[in-house]
Amino acid sequence: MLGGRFPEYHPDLGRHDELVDEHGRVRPLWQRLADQLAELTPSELERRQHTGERLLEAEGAGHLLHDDDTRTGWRLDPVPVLIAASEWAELEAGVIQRTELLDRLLTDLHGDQEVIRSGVVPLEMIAGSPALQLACLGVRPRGVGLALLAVDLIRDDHGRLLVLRDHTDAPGGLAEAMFHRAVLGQVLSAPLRSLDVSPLDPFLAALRRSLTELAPLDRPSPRIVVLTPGPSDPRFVEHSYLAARLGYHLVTGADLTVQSGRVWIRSLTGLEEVDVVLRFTPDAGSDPLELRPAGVHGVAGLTEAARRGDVGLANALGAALVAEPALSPFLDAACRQLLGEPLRLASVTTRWCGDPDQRAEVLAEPGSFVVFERGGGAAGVFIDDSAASATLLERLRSTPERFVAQRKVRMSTTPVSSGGAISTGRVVIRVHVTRQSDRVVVLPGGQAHVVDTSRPIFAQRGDVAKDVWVIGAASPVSSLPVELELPQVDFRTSLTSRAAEALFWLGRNAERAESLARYGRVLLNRADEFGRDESGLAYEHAVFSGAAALSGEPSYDPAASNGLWSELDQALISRRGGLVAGLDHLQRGAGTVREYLSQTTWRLIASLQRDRQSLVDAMHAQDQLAVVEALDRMMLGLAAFAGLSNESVVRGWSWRFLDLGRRVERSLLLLGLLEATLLADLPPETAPRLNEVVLSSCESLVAYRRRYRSDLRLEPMMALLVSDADNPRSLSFQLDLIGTHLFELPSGRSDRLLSLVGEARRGAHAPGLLELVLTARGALLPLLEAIHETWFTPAQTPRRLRASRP
Amino acid sequence: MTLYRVVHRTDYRYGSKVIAGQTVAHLAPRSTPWQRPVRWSIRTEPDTDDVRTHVDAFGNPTTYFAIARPHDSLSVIATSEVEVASCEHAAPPEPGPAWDAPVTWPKHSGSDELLARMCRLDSPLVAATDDLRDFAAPSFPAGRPMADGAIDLMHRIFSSFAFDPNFSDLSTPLAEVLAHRRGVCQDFAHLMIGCLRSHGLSARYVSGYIETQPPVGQPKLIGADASHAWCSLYVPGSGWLDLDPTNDHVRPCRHVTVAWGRDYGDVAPLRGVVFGPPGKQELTVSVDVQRLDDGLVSRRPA
Repeated sequence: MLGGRFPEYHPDLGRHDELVDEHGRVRPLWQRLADQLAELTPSELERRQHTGERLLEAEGAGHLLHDDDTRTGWRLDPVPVLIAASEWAELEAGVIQRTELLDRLLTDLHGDQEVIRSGVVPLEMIAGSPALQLACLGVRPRGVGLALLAVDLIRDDHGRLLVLRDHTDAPGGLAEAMFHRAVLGQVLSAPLRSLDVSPLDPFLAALRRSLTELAPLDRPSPRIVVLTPGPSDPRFVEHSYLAARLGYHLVTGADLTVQSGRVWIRSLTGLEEVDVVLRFTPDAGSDPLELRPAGVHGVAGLTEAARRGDVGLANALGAALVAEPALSPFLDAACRQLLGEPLRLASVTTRWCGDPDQRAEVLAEPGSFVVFERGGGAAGVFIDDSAASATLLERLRSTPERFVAQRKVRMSTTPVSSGGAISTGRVVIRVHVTRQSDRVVVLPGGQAHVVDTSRPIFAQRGDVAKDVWVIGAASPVSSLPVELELPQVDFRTSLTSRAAEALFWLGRNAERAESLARYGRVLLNRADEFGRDESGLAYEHAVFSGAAALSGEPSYDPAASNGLWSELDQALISRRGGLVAGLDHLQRGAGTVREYLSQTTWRLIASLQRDRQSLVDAMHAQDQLAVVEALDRMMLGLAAFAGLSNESVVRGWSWRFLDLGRRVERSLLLLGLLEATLLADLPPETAPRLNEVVLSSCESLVAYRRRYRSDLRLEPMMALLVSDADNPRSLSFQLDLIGTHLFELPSGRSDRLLSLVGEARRGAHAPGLLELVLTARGALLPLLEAIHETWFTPAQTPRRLRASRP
Repeated sequence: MTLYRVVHRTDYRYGSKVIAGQTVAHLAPRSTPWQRPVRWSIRTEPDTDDVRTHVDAFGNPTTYFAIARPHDSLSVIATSEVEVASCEHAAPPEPGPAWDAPVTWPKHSGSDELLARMCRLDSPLVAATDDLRDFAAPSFPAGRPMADGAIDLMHRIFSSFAFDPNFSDLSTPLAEVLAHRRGVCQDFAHLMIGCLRSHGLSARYVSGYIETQPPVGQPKLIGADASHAWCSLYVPGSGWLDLDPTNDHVRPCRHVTVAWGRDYGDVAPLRGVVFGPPGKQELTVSVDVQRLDDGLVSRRPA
């Protein structure tokens, strides 16, 4: 019995519950975990949940699901879903068979169409499928068609696992499963160790082998890339995480091009051939030339490349077709035809209304079904007495082939924790699978999400995620032979133009955020010490006009100023080029080049995001102390980021672009600050105060005092900040490094680039101070342009040719 | 047999230079029981770096070509020589079963039957509607043989619709063509396909050409200077019956077939993407279809 251990847990004993049996006794499978969970107080359980969330964030996965600006995070429930190894073995066998079947079906439906010719699968069902890509007919997959897929399962109230749906087109969630396990490994380490849970990591090695096998035969060490729709895709973080874990390049459609029927990656040094693409762009967004609906995303010509067979695609184009829910009623017959055996894994009863018998079944008791209109979004609707339902049924009767219905299932319950209490919930389990030429490997366990059964569950994402543990005897997967991995061709020198640009901006944004945080900090310090005296105002002016110029906004006008807080708000929070914007760009930019950054970077970025929130709150409350604290923490975080950039990024072109961005940004910020200082032209009494804050904004005050032991005079200050080649904050220092980076980068030794650097250097030694600033900047701005023109090819958006009509 | 020579030229002028382009073309005439392509070639300006022909889902030869260097205009010249069965050998069409008799498809379907089943369904550009059914209904009284009904429908479209190249474009919905009773051959083909599908019949879209100069003593056909389109009805037992509502021809025999599909979208002569800055595109198309043998003989000066 539960013995009062989980007072909030009230399962309906009339139906299957995963934790307790029909007598209310804890099932043997759950015994040990239930004991260990019962030892945790509610507040301790809640604490672990929060720790888990923080760790997720530290992996950069806190908003694995993010729309560009509005993030919808999810909660990771520390209580896992448990599956006994014995049940898993059976499920695994069913999933393996299903994978083989779907793969064979994919090849058949796009090739000989035996299942259609023999009447096993109705042509009308396939021809009317929104997932059908006619351009893929006749395109033979190279190797297996489905190298990676996922199957969603639910448990009915008899405890039977049923397939809810398949994911074959850009299947998602594998990285989520990895994240969750990594987090629970820390939050529930004792149970995880003591329960003999099957590990997930070997699956990645299996996936690597699946992908390697897809390469054209004459390439023993294939070049493999992970193709993502881009940073705006809700699953972008997952794609970048997988690319980093697998050790492959992450690319967007714009990074790839098809020439001579082959796929190439656009790198800094030209085109490099790609052998295998792990595709997270859905069919419809993979080839604007041939796939529908005709968009502008993806890689134009990818279908032609697949047709010629010189590239391996995981998954093959057109893969969405075999995840068609309307295919479900025909799978058993197809399995008998293609594999010569009955389908092992049961599905939720699904009916395609284009078939008269199946339609009759649905219309006989429509209230027992969830009805889906094909191509009308995946959500589905319950049929009730409403007018909307009546209209839908009317349309179902007139165009039945456009409708699919899935029988409602009474689901079993499982423990879900919330706010420290454990209660009953219902989950959808997602199982990930990779197929190789000679076997299928199933991820043992994986992920689940809690669903709300008052709505159709088919497409629910669920905002509470769970880990799935397979418990007991080592599952077949954990005894996988260790893979001897084939070397992947070294992509170290082949940096994509897009990644180079992202790294360059990452450097710029990190430097800008760090400087603005420091400026803000110094400014608030000054406000304390001197109030808003002349030097304080001059500094405000210097900072704000510099910040305004960086955002491309009209220069700061002290007369129009609404006071310190309003200006601070502009510089730190609201402005397009402000601190908060810089941090957001930093985070987003880092996500696009995850494979170049160390893991610690993510923890830093997560903590910077927390500081960002504190800063916004403190600014809102005009709480000066809290603002100072937030800025302090941010400066430390950004200094650490700079440190990591130098200590944990492999020296190569990628690092050079990162550092180049930082140096260019630092030069421009410094010049802006100096210009405003010079223009302030303060009287001798207050000028030293301004000089002092300028020096401390440039982290050079201590150095100044040690070197000159004198008043804070303009000329020595300028010497330290401009021409001193040993001060890592000086202009000369930046220009030297810029020169070195350009010299080492491919095609960086062009006359134009070198002459612009030379001009900036000469500017740094100009006789007049203002002239110096103007000349140096006069060379840096065109240099910036030249950098863009030399390396960062503008994204080429495809346009459609006008159609001629008869 | 009649031997035709077809030159189909398409010229694009881009407002600004494009960096590269890729194109999929349906410009090579397919083989049919009544037509045999003898020779075919495609030439582009600038020269293509990569050209390859495959067969699409409908069995049409389909040409992919790519131009991987900057250019500000593109010309595509497809030249073909095709033998087409002469008119005098055409047997009168079978009337076929009653249009409203239930169809039983064989359990094991051949390719033609599969295509026919596919072409009964709505397609992206042609969906059956009540309006189309109502318009077609007078041609389909109960029990009428389907080919007779379709031929009658074709006469009605020919006589009540005006050929008007300025009325519609590719995005004009069928409902508007029906409401205004005007359009071009593509509209009429789509319209007729929609009417047939709304009666549960299978109809496919056919793209091709008509000879430019008629044989002596015969009228020049409409749509002869551009690519042409018509439709084809599937008659169980006797197969596909081509019907050209623009010219009111049953089993047109001065036509060269290029490709067929569910609607225009499956067989557009050229479909492509170009990369580069946004800019205008100007498009001109010319088609020339000449008889090479008997036609020439008949017009040779004495």
